[in-house]
Amino acid sequence: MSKYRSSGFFGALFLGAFTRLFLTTNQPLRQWLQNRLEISTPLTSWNRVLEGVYLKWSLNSSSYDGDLVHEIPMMINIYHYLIQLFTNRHIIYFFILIDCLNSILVYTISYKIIQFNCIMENFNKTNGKYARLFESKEKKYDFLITEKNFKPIFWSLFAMVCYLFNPLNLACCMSQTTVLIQHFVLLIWLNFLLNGKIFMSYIFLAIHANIAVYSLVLIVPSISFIRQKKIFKRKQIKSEFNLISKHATVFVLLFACVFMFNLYLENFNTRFIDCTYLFILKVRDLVPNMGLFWYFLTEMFDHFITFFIYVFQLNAFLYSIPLTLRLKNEPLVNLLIQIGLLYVFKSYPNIGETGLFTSFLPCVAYLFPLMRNVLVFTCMLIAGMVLAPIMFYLWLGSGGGNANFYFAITLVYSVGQIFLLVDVFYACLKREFIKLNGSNVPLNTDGKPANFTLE
Amino acid sequence: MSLYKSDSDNKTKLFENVIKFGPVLSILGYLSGIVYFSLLPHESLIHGTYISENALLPGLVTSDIYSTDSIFNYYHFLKDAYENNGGKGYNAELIHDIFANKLKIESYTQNFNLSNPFSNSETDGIKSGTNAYAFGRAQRADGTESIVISAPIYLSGKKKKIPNLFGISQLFILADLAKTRPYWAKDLIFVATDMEHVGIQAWINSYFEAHSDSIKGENLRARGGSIQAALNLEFSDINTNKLEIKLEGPNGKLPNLDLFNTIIRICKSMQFECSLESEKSANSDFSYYHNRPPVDHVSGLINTVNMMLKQATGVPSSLNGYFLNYRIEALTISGTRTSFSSKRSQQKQNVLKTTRIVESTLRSVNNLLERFHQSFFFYLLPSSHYYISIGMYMPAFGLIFLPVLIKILSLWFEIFSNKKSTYSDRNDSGLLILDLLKCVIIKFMISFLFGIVLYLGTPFFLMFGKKFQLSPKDALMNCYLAMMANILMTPFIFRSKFSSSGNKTEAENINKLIILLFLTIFVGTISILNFSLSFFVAIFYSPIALLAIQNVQNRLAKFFKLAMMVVACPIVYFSFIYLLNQYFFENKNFFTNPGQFYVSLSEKFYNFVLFSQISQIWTYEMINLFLVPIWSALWITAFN
Repeated sequence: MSKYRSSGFFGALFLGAFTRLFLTTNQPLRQWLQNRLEISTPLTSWNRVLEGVYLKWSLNSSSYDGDLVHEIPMMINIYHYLIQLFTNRHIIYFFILIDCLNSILVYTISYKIIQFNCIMENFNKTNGKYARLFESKEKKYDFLITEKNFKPIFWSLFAMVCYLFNPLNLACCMSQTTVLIQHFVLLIWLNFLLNGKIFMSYIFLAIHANIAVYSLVLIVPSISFIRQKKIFKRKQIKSEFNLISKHATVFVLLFACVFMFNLYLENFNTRFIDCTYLFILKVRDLVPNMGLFWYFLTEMFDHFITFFIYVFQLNAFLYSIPLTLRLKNEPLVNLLIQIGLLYVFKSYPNIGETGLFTSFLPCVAYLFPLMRNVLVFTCMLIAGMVLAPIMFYLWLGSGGGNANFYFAITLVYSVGQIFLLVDVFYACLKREFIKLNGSNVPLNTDGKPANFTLE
Repeated sequence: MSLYKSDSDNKTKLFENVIKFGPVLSILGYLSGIVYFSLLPHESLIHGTYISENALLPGLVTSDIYSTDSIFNYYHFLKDAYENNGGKGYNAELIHDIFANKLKIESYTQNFNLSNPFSNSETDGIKSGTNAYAFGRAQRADGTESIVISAPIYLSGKKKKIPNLFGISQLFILADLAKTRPYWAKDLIFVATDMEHVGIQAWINSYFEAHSDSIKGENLRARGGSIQAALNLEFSDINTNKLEIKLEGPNGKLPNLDLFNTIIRICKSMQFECSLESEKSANSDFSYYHNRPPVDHVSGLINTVNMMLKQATGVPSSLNGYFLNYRIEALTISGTRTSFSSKRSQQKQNVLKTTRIVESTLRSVNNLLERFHQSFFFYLLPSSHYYISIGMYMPAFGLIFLPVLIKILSLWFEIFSNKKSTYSDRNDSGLLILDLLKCVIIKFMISFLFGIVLYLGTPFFLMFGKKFQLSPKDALMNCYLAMMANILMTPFIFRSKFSSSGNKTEAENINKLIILLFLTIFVGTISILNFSLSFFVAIFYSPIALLAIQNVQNRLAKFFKLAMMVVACPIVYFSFIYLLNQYFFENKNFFTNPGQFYVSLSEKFYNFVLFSQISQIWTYEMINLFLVPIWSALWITAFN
């Protein structure tokens, strides 16, 4: 618990909470943010939740009448109790509370991630895996991270500050989007996973996968992490297949349980399946957002749409297994990259999701000197964030622009995120190469120094 | 080459090239940007305007106005009402009466109030007025679309208000056409507005049920279909022989170029002189019926700069601007008189032609099948027959801003090539963060605090002024200047706080990088919304920002640097532009009389701030919130 006893931790938490409370006094800003499409996507809009609650408890009909509500029944029920507890006027304080809890979770998780990475490198070093690194000519003694040269307290505090004062997260908190609660579930999953409480972590991953179908694939990196942890505790892994199938089965069963629970809450009316899972997968709502789907699907002839939806959705699920195989020695970087990739390729992305995974970047700060395009993706992300509302205004407000203006900016934003993730991946691979092969530049067959490229 | 570095050899080479050729490229880029911009109105680069929307078919209809009798009837009726009884009889009630009882079309009046946005008391300084509006419903159409023809009841003149008698008379003529002719596909809405800029805003806001803090209008009792276009008629005199078109809307918005082209085309077909507002041209001979007049480079450049100056303030040049807020293409047709050959027959001809031009424009718009969407929304006009599109002028802007971008790149490379040294010694990272906190974060917090104080402070400034018995305009100007003096004093007060310990260059480089990035974001963002404003910011702040972050040892050079930074204070810079504008375009020489200039400036400044608050123009707020903090950060950096 000593890690919580730093003045920086309390200072940051207090300042973050104070900023949020201060911003709540600005009513027009909150109103404006609540109507922004980048934040209030069909899956996360608070107004839609209110509609669902009203339909179910005041009109005694199904929440899913009218195809406005896309939250799963479980969450609708939870929100119903929350609204009764806080009343709709004061629900913002609940969101601030959740956001602060999220930031504490970010802190804890970052601490764990850094600690785990340090211990893992130390473990591999003592096992002699990095022998060639120490034989190489150009030496760098602190290349391997330890808790001394990469202080977990400092960098996890940095991560927490990144979460608390990221304008994207502030905007999400002020607009009361339910993405915060999705973050909360996701972070609890990560926390349990890192603490080794695997069953609990699967429960939360199952809930999150029910809310946003895409996170199903996160089971792959989590199994990889568990495997790595087993190796490093010197436990014998008898059969990899057994391990994978056991964990996958448990997860699928839990997922089914959560699903059945939802079905039970809806009195075994299957209407909600169409409004939640299939709504996400079929991408029915083409209202603009920061993602890649809406523009392609609005521009496309109807008879191609089914095919392209299959392609696009496959794209979201495709990278999980190859990435995990490639990064099996760096399970935590793998986790972060996969969370990020899901957020880029999902059908209704929310800017708060970018805010979440970018706030974990300080955990891998030791990769930054090895990255290539920091300036490029930083500029792209800033341009995307600043210009998105302006291009939206030019398109639909003043009428000087058209849909291409906004689409161009969402494309810049998405490509910026992909660049960021690819760069993290590249730096991670390069670091692994140096660790295993030393820092001597290898030669090509023609005798010239080889280049390090991502292929 | 080392594997520990992120970059391959190619990138290191690029870095060396940027460091080596950066200064030359910057100077070259900046100068070529200015040269390219001034060459834009040249014959070889310019394009002639053309009608892009085929449906408009300008000037193809036969006019339905045959004689000037009824125009003069209405005109003299209104003139009598204006001249008798001290002008009190000439108001919205009278216009409503003519619409309703003489022309027998649907007509209403609307009352509205204007309250001073900076005064606390509810009743203090409330002015009220009345608008009249009428609907000429299209007989054979379903009423889903409409066109607005508006005319202010009074125009603002140099000394007193001038009645817009001829403009209002034209409304009646057109209303008669709207009632009797079967070809209208769109409803015509006639609006006669009171109190210049206030009345039209009250009417439009009520029409769209938009909320405004200081202007409160009654709800409208009837509406037409979706408004496709709007024309605003301003005629200070019935003896007009030239039309001037005003375009600029609030916050740099411009109407679709097609609408403008239509009017120019129709004027040409009627052989009537027509130009941009205060357009300068070498040959005033208007005998070009088929062809465009030849390009005149110098006057084209002057006209472009004049248009940009008007656009940069964000204040609409006339009442048409407020329609642009709601995606309604609108422009103002105002009549002027250039020669005094007041032959009776000539005058009648001119009146007839003017009215026919307005009618013909309306009938062109009447042909539209869809909203204005072709042609250009972002353009500059060097003359009424030529245009410069966004694709032509944006490169000039990019070249002018190139020095800052190159500097950002080289700063970035510098920081990251030095990174190796701090990276090897990780205990430094904590120190670096501390340095950043001292050097960068505090500096920016103070700078943005100033910005926020200026942004929120106007009512408080005026309150102070009341305490000291100052007139509002003096109070605002003095307080603003006092705040600027505060910013100028900041580095003296916090001198020791800003200087960093440890690895100084790194924190300083990051500080410079952040300032330049802020400037880039600000200028880039504004360039999309209001190109002219960002152009005038970029052309001065791009070299100034580089100068400010340059380390100079020479005492004389340092003095020069600081003096330039004082000039770079936004209010000093913009009042300098105002001074030049007055000198070149309004022929007022303030150079000899600084006292009078200060009086004129503070009055203009107060009116501008008040006007932006009432009409929701964000130029003042943007400059306070972003440009002032950037300048303040630059100033503090320049001092260290």
